[in-house]
Amino acid sequence: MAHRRPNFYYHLHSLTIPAREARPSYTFGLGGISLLLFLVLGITGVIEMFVYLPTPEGAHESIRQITYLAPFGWLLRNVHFWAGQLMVGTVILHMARVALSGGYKARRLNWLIGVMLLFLTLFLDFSGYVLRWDQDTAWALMVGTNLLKSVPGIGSALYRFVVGGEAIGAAALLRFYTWHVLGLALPAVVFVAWHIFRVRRDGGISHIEPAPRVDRQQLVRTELIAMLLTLVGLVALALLADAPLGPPADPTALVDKPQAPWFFLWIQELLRIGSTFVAGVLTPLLILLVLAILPYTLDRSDHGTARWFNRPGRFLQVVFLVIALGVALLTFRGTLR
Amino acid sequence: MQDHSMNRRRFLTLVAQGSLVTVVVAAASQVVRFLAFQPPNSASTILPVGQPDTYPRGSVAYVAEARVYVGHDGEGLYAVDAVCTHLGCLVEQGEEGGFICPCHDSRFDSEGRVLTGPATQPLRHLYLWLDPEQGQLFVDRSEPVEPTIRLIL
Repeated sequence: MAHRRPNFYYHLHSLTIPAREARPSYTFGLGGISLLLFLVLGITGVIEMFVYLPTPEGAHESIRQITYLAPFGWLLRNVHFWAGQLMVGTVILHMARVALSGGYKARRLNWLIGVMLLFLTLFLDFSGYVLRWDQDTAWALMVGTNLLKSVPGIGSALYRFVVGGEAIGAAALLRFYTWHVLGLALPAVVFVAWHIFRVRRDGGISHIEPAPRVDRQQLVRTELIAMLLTLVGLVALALLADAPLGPPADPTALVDKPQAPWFFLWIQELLRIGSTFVAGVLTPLLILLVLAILPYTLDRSDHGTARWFNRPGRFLQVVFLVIALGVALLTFRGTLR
Repeated sequence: MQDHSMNRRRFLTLVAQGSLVTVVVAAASQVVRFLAFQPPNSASTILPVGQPDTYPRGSVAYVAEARVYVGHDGEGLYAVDAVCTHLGCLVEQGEEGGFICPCHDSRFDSEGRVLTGPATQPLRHLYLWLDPEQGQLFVDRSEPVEPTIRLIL
């Protein structure tokens, strides 16, 4: 057989792969699955852009057209919705895997890029949620933007910057649409590419040296299987559960139980307890900051790479788990209401 | 040995770099101003809330178009803004005549005073008047009044 040059996909990996870390039981494929979901979101999102109307009068109606009239529109929207929900989950779990198995060691810049991607993922999801322009999302948007006003000094300027006027309206919807499809999506593409490039530049998946290595073919095979399983799961979800769509947003109607999207429920819970700025803006930002500087402060050692719950990173792991547990408990409390 | 003194090449490089930074900073700050631009607000803040006889003594009713509760107590008619002073959700009527915000559980009494947080400011009372020609009540959402003020007919 003639020698064939490897296709582009193979550029993601070096010729040989550390054997232990290439097994799915080390990474659970969470980074790769997040990447796949991101690609699915990009493709389905662009198709939706051909129909979706980013105006208060047209938004809800055009989503109903996508959902109930356009051929396979319901599937398209469901896949986009579920890929977005799943991606929040896989990105957070990926972060947990890297934190708990010392994957950030000797490659701390990539951890920072990852934190940036977490931020972008959350706000891509939130801006997408707003585009539904139904009763639930209208209140989430109202609360979320009013939070900005609580920032000392620059609050009202920040509000105008995000909302484009004195109150939520056509300008705000257009802005969230532009952030969603371009302002956040494009930086996300850049940071995803940088993130993957850094993995390759830092020597592939974090691993224990010296490592027995195997041909990359083995990892590629595992990745293809993981990809197929993810797509099967995604389509199954999309077939079984429809993306929600409430009645059109009406800023004058009383709503019984306005809820934040599930990944911001913990902030809604905090807002019931604390003062607006501290609970709604400062605490989430501080948590993000703490996450960002974790590998620069609590664990500066490069020993214990690729070992679950390695000793040098013990303090970092505890802090990470405490934050994760706190957010999880608040989220759980929010779902009980 | 390296020469640190200013020569022509170094000077021109500095000028070029400085110009580039200046242009980028100036453009970026104008982009921020562009995005924070606020178009003139044309929406009227004066809204009709119906006939006076739709509010019998002792009642408090929600008027959706104006986002206010119009009440009628022993002294007269008044309008309480339904927009929560915490983060802008619409408050609902509680069992004992007060108001509860469904978003973060702030509680207000029937006068709009804060009972429990997170809200720190009372609900606004809005200017309410009767237009004698139309026989209609109106509120002005941009005109808060003292909570003791009543419209006596």
